Order: sequence, then structure tokens, then C-alpha cells
Amino acid sequence: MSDQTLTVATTTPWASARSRLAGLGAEARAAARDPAFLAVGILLTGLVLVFTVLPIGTVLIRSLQPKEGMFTWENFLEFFSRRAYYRALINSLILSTASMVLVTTTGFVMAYLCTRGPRVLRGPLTFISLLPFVAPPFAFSVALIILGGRRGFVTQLLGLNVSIYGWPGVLLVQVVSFLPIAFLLIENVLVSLDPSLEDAADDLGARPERILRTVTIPLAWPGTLKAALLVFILAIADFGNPMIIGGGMSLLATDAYSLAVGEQNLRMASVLSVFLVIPSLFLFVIHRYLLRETRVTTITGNLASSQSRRSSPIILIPMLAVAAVVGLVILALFGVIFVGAFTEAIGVRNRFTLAHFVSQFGLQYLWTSIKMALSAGLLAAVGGIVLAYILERKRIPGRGAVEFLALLGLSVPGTVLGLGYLLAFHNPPLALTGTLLIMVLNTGFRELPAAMEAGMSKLRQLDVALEEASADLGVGPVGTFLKVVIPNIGSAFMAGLIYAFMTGMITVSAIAFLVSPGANLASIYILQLAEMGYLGEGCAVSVMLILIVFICVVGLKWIARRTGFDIIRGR
Amino acid sequence: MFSRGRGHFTLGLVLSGLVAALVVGGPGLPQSQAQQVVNIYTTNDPPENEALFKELEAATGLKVNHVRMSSSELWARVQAEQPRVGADVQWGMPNAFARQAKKQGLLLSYKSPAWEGVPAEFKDPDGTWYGWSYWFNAITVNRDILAKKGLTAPKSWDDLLDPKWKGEVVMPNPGTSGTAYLAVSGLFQLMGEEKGWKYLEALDKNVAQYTKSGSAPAEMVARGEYAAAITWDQAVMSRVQKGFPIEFIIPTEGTPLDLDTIVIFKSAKNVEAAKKVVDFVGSERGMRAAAKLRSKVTRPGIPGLVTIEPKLMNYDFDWAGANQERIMKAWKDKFGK
Repeated sequence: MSDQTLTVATTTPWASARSRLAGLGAEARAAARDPAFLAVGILLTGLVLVFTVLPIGTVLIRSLQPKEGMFTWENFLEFFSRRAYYRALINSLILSTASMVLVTTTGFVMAYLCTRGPRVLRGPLTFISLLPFVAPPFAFSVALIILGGRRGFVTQLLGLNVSIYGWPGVLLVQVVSFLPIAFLLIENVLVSLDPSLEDAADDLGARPERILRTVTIPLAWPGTLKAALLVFILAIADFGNPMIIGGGMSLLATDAYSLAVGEQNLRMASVLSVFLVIPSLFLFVIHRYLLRETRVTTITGNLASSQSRRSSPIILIPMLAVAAVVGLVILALFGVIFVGAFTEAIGVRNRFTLAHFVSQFGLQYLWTSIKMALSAGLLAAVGGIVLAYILERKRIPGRGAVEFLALLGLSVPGTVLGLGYLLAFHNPPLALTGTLLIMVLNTGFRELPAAMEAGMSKLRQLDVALEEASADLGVGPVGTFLKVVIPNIGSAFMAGLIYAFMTGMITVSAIAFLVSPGANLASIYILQLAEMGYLGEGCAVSVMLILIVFICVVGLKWIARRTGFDIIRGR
Repeated sequence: MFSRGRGHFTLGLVLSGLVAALVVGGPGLPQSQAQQVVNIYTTNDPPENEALFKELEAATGLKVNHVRMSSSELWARVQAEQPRVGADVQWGMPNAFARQAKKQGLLLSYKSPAWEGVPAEFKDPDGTWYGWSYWFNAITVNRDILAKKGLTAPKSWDDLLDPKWKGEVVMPNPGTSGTAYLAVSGLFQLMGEEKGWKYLEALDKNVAQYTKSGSAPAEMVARGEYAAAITWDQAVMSRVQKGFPIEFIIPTEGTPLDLDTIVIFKSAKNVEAAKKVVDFVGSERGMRAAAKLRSKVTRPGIPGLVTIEPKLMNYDFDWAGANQERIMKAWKDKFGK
């Protein structure tokens, strides 16, 4: 046994290294036959290096520099010696963990009900679980202040005397904001999970609670774990909600912003950012590379249908109770955003008004947002799709690394990329701060991975034989790409574009670092309005954003229905 | 399948063209083609900006781009950006900051003819800063909550220390808000720094929340979220006018007063436009627009919103400016959450 291990240990690395080297050589030769794509590939990689990797690297370097040209751990020692700093790390870890548990549980309950609950409720519950997707997440914080503030409707109705600012508010809003993503991932697993296994357990006399515990949950575990990790990453990166409803609580993402923007303490902001990057990146790697299998393979030939399975009341009733509460909260929050937008001072003077909509700034910023998000969306979609094609089809050496680097834009919290842009692009040669272009680049490269993933998954469905046939008929690589590939992945391109546009409209975390006269966005404006207590105006701008996002989602659904490609569900 | 995919692609191309047109088409709404632009940093509240910029644009034909932040945030931003500050003008800057910026050589000297009628005490003799209005700290309370809880309105700073206010007071964060720093440094000057810290520690027991902006506490009290707030005069007055059930209180010990200034940065790219802004703010028309929003403006003969003479303390701008960084840091260590 130990002999074998030894042999394996001594020979394998050499052999594999040699074969990998040989492979690289072959790949390089193959790539050299396609100079156009090699050049585009190198160009895109270069852009990713400059606009994704460089800013993150700058933050890391800055965190190790107490002064220019000096490298020590001094900043980190300072971080751990002042409670005002390290408290942010502790709070962030606690909050993200709590949020992860709550969101995943809620997501599981909703997904379970939508696949195994009463059939009449499946449609409405799916709708409610996905509804928060169309609102800018921080809009819920604004609504929650109106509903659950000390003089909020609910607070007064129930005679509560609790403060919604701080932990309870942020947690509640995060549950609502991240529910759709958790729901989608878990529902994905539960749908593909063969109900006959649960039926079998049932036939063998297991109690419903035992089936759930020993059959359903273990089988759904990989997908649920993936959802949980993603929620943790989203929660620790969340910026808008704590900003509005955190009541000044210390968290990494918001404190890094306050330190950088409020005090220009870029050094300490960088240290906080490093503590944001470490857990996010760690979990992202687990999420993506160690938990590759999302769907539990149930080898039964025909696709498992969920309609045959109906769970028992013992399970369903408590779950329905949870769903009812969550559903009510979501509907109430949405309702308040719309009512608040048309009310003079909601809760104080409930008179109808359109005044909140005529604000000159709101419309002006909305227009800037649209321009910014469209440009960024286009950048993300074109860059993402071309990169996807090159990574998926052209055997370029080091493509795994390029893919990973591009994905950093998605996995690293926006705060870090905002700070990174501020640090890396303030001085020549790339003095971009103070322009709208810097926002376009920032958002574009943060959204590029989504379009890239969409392109790659679409390409995997597309038989390579089509392209080979085109090549055999004498069409060059560029011609093949334009005439054969593009028409077939057009849906991924459009989906990537709309998706990036939509996310660009509601992004705040990175962009908040980059505002300047002439580059002010609607999403940031809501933050400012909420922070100053102008809730009516905040609701009005939120309503406008919701409508835009809603139209985008309808567009994406339309693409999904016509071409079978659903970017939101990732398949 | 093919035609459908191509359809999406074509649609994408059409959109690309649209985007290109939008981005090339200039920064503003389509009508703003050849307009002269001015970039403004401001600490004024959004409704103030909306009214003032509209008037400014009407009077000068300029197109205004702006960023609104709390005064300490903007100060930090200017410090980080200098010598190339990202705006031409800052409209709304605590006088202490303007004096410091002048010492650092960040400000453009411009002797504006429009400011001739304004008394010399409100202007820098070298023309680097101009005081357009003044503002002071005020306390506000919500009458409805007071009635419900059987509380009586505080008359002085000291009254806010009474344990009956526990969890009912909101004030801005001195780390970000000029309003809060004016109050804190004013109290320090009033009672001495040592006693001042003791006061803040006692007050902290009653404070429910420290907000980033100086006006937010007034809005929270107006909405009835909290009973009492430390804020500034106009944040209260504008809400009294709107009919919110709140009261305007000047503490009996006296309250610190700040002169709100406007400056042009030396690094300004649009110097001509920036001068037009300063001219406008000092002009009769500009001052009248400001007088609708502020308690008092500096041009004689134009009444502001407050006619009573508040009991003001003798506020030392230079002491306030010199000690700001130290006090902010100490405050954060003591009271940061």
C-alpha cells in the first residue's frame, strides 16, 4: 500500500507534467493556425488583466503598504488592534452566516412547496419567490423603513417597540433580496430529483419527516450547498442594504466605502477589502470547482417529473406557514414601494401626489444610468460571447486560467472593484476617474463573466460538427464564427446583453466609489435619498427602476421561450 | 432556428448603434449639445439643489453637473484629489474648510463685481471664498410623540441628557457630517473639551442612531421615528413649513453658527462658467433664491426664513478646523458601532 503510494507520488507528476507540456505544445500549434482568434484572445485577456485583475491587485498591494514603496504587515496589525476596524470583519462574518442559513432554509421551503406542495399553489409561490428579482435590492430597505420603522404600519399595528435599523432589518431584507437566487438553484435540484425514490421510502413505511430528512435533503444537498455558498458571497458583498437600514452598524463592505470615500483612508479601506476578498474567493472556488455537479443524476431515462409526488400535511403545513409569512412580507414590501412613490409623506400625510416623479435629478440620473448600463451591457455581451467562443472552441493554452481571471469580476465583491478602480485609474497612464467611461468599464467587466458563462453553456449545447462542416467546406475560422456560430448563439448574446444591462441599472457597490459630476446614477441616487430620509422620492426612483428591470425580465423570458435559453436559470 | 438567432444578432447590432449614438451624443439629455458646462460639488440638500440649480441654469444658461455629499466627505475627497480637484466650484462649504483650503493654495482668487453690496465680513479679502448664507445647529422634537409619551420639550443642550430621552435622540455622525461637527466642536468650545467629551458620553446613552447626513435626523423626527434630534436650522424650518408636527428649538446655552461659502478651485477646467456661478450666487436673484431655502442670506435687505435672532455662541472657525481630524478620530473610537 505504502509502496504504491510512493510510486504514484514519484512518477505521476513527471509523467503528467510531460504530457501536459506536450498537450500545451499541440494546443499552441493549433492556436497558431487561427491567428485572428489568437489575437482577439490575447487582446481580451489583456483587457481582463487591466480592468479586472489589475484593480484587485492594486488593492492587495495597497493593503501591504503603510507608506509608498514600503511593504509590511503594519496595516494588518493596525486593523487587529482597533476595534472599530476588526469589528467590521466579525459582524460581516456573523451576518453573512446568518443570512446564508436563513435564505437557504427559506429557499428550500419555497422550492419544496413548488415541487411537492399543493398544485394550485405552485404557480403563485414560484411567482412570489422570483418577484424580488425585479426590484433593486436596496429598494426593499427603503420599503422596510416605511413598514417596520418605529412608526411604520406594521410596527404600530402590532404595537412593537423594536428598531428595524441594524441586524434585524439587514437580515430581513437580505432574505427577501437573495431568495430568488437560492430558490432557483434549489428548485433546479428538486425538479430533477426522481420522486420515485421518495415514493419508495414512503412505500417502505417511512414517516414523511423521515423521508425529508433521509432522502430528499441528502439528495438535494449539493444544490442546496451551492445555493448556500452563493448566498454567503452575496451577503458579505451586500452594500446597499446595510447602507440604508444598517443604522451605522460596522460591516466590511460599507466601512471600506466610508473609509475610502468619507475619510480618504485608502490604506485601511484596502485592508478591509482584503478581508472581503478572502472568504468570497475561497467559497467561490469551492462553489465552482469542487461542487461541479449541480444536478443529482438519477439514471432513469425519462426526466423525472415532479407532478407525481405530493408531500404529506405534516411537512407541508409548517412549510406553508413559513411561505405565507415570506410571501406576505414580499408583497407588502412591493406594495409599499408603489404606494410610497405616490404618497406625499407616507404614514404621516397620506395624500396622493405625483411630485416625487417630477424631480429633475431623478430623471436626469435615470438617463445617465440607461446610457451607462447599455454601454456596459454591450461591452459585457460582446466581450463575454467572443471570449466564451475562444475558450470553448479554440484550444488556447492557459484557457482555464483566463476563465478564472474573467470570473473574478463576478466573484469579487463590488466594493473591492470600486476601490480598485479608484486606486488604479486615478493617475496617468489611465486617468479615468471622474468620467462616465470608468463606470462603463467597471460594470462591463463585472458583468462580462455572466455573458461569458451564457455563451459557454450555449456553445456546449451546439454540436461542434456544424463548425467542422463549415471548415470542411472551406470557410475560414472568422467566416465560420460569423456565419455558423453567431446565428446559433445569438440568443445567448441577447440574453447576456439584457442581463448585463439590467444588473447595471441596479448596481451600487462598485459604482458608489466612482461618482463624479456628470456621472451620477439613479441607483446611487436612491441610496442618497434614503440616507437623507427622502423616502417618497426614493420609492419613485425605485418604481422607475423596477419597471425597467421588469421589461428586461420579460425580454429574457421571451428569449427563453423562443430559443429555450434561459440565462436567469442558467440553462 | 438560424433566422431566429440571426434576428437576435441583428437586434443586438441595432442596439449597439443606439448605444454608440447615445454615448457620442454628449453627457446630458439631447438638448444640451453646445451648452457651457460647470461641475459643482455641493453639500446642499437635494431639494435645495433642485431649486437653486434650476434658477442658476435659467439665469446663466449653464448646464450643471453635480455631486452631493456630506461636508466632511467632500472635504476628504478634495484633499485626495488635489491639486486636480474633480469639480470647478464647491457651493456649500463650511467656512472653516474654506479658510483651510485657502491656506493650502487650492482656491482661485476672483473679485466678483456681483458681490459688491455684501458686507466685507462675509467675504475673503482676496476673493477666494464668499459666504452666501449662514446656518446654525438646532434641536427639534416631534410634538405627537412628546404628547404620547408625556415628555416636555428640551430647552437646552443639557436637557437632552435626561434618561427619559433614552433611545429617542438621533444626531448626525461627526465623522461625516458638517452639521454634527459644528455641534460637537461648538459644545467643546462652549464647555471646554474635557467636559465636552463627558457630555457626549452621557448623550450617547440616549442616542438611538448616528446618521451620515446632517438633515436626516430632522426627517426622522418629522416622520415620527424618533422624538428628538440634533440637526441644523433649515432642516427643521423647511419641515415646519411643510406642516410636520415638529418644533424648532435653539438651546439656551447658545448654538454655534457657521457661514456657508462658495469657492472656485484653482484647478477648475471651466473657469469662465465657474465665475458665472459665483456671480449668480452673490447677485440679487441668486440671494433671493437662496433666501427661500435658508434662514439668513448675507446680502442685506433680503430676509431669510428666520426672523428671530437666535442666541449664537462665539464660534472659533480656526480652532474648529485645526482640531477636526483629531476629534473625529477620537469620536469614532469612542462611539463607532
